[in-house]
Amino acid sequence: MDVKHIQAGPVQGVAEDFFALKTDRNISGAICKTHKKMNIKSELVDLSFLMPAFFVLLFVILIPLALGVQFTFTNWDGISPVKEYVGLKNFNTVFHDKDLLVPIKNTAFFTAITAICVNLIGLGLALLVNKELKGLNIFKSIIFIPLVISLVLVSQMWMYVYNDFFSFIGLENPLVSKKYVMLGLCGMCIWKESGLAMMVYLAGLKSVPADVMEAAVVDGANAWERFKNVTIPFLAPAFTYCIPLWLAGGLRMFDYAAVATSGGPGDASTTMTYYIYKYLFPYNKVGYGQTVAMIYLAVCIVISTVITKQLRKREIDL
Amino acid sequence: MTKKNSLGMDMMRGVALTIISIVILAPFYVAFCYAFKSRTEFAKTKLAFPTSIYIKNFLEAVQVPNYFTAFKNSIIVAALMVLTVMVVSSTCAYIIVRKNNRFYNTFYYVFQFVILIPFQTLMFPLYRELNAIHALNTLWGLVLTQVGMNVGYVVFLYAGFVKGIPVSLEEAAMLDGCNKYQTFFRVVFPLLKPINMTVFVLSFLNSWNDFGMSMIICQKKEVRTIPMMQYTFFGEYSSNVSVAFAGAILAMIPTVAVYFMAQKYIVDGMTAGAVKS
Repeated sequence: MDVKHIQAGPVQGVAEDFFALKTDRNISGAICKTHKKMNIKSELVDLSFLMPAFFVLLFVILIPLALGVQFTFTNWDGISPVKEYVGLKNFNTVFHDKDLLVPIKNTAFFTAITAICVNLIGLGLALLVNKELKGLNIFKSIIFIPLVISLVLVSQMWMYVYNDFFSFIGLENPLVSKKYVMLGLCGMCIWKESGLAMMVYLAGLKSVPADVMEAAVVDGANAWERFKNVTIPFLAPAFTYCIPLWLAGGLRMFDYAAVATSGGPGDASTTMTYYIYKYLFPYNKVGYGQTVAMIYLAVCIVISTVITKQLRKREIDL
Repeated sequence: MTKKNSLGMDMMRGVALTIISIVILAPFYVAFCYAFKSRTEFAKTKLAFPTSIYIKNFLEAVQVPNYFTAFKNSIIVAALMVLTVMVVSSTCAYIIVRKNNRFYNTFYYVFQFVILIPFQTLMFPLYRELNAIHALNTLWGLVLTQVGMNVGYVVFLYAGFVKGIPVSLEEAAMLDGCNKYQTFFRVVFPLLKPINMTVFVLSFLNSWNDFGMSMIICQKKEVRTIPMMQYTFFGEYSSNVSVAFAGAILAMIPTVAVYFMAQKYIVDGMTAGAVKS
């Protein structure tokens, strides 16, 4: 699957025992020495719990991150043994590059449409299944199934749905039309992921206390007022979770474009990640491609962090 | 009056959900329908319900060279990935939560930061790095990459859970003479069972369905995993879609099986942190 995750949780409470240990050590000479030895040993044992995960992270993320920054200053083709350093030339190229406008537009479109539709549909579905009723579990299970299927298979099934079923009911296949191809890809994503949004919002709906709801009914609030003033505030954590999740998911969309359309027709469905892939691998323009990649990485992190922070603030207001 | 009303509402609910379920299941119908049709029937009727069940497509699919290799590779990668990610992340999250000082919390921030990174932005430097240590086109190279891309979120999941476990049990174990490793693996790890299940299922699905990473790291036929094989399969068999879909359906069985066995844990894992506690 490709469940994309984003969850920026601040760590609560910082560092008391770190300082406490320090004062401990000052008690007296002899005690201090043995203490110190034991302390060092136990600190090393503690570190050994952390290190395996950190080494994997170092190797898979942090070293490539450093290498990636280095590549941005070269005009390397990715194959030849020598790299020529060209300073900031790549950045200059990127900021004046009109070719980039298409993937930016496509990614923005995909991200906006999927984030809005998945969340609205998910919320709607959650309201539909939020009742103790026989048989509802079957529907929940069915709606959730697409989430465990690989993106490759989803793309392939939909290629044939669009091709054969759409022509059967007299519609054009969106994947071969420059105008509708991104909508076609959005459709696949919405189909696949609305079930997850449903489950998250359902968990939020279940957290609305029954007595608060009853109080609202007694006070004479109508259905819409109850939804707006009682339900929505309790859903705030779900929104804080879902909106950044699908924003980040849209920004990193790769598989649909790679499998279903190869970025085409023309470059009509080339997203940012697919654009980066094209320049790094088939085109062998590593200096340029990696510069786009590093800028894009920074953009993704800034967008996700800012949106999450804003939503957190809202959450407290509600 | 109200009873009638709510009955009517339930009916509407049922109708709406039935329609939605049909939309959700329709693409699966296409896959199954094509997989069970012979070539001639497929050419004639396309989307109509298959008149007979034609098993030969499945036999042909599994006889495609490298089909079983890909299956085997996927199983090896998923098993190693799940095992590794569980061990390294649970120990890491445990010590971060228990130490809770500035040094360890900095690492926690680093792990959180990594969750936000799109794989494609770092894939080329990683590709070069794997090439340098001869890990390209090896299964362990893919396992390592998948662990690295998942470890951030898994540490986050474990950290949330460890916070809720009382320290007293560990102190008792230490007094009884367990060292830290014994304490963790004998006392703490069993207590993590619910979250272990969630991590197990989520990581399995992430690994089994991964395409972006295997596309870069495991291109050679001998080391291809299922999504990668399917990708080429549909290209090579575009004239014989039935066989391609038959192969795809067989490859789907493990994920759907895991889904029905562990639905609760998937939902728990994916909705963790989404509800006010």
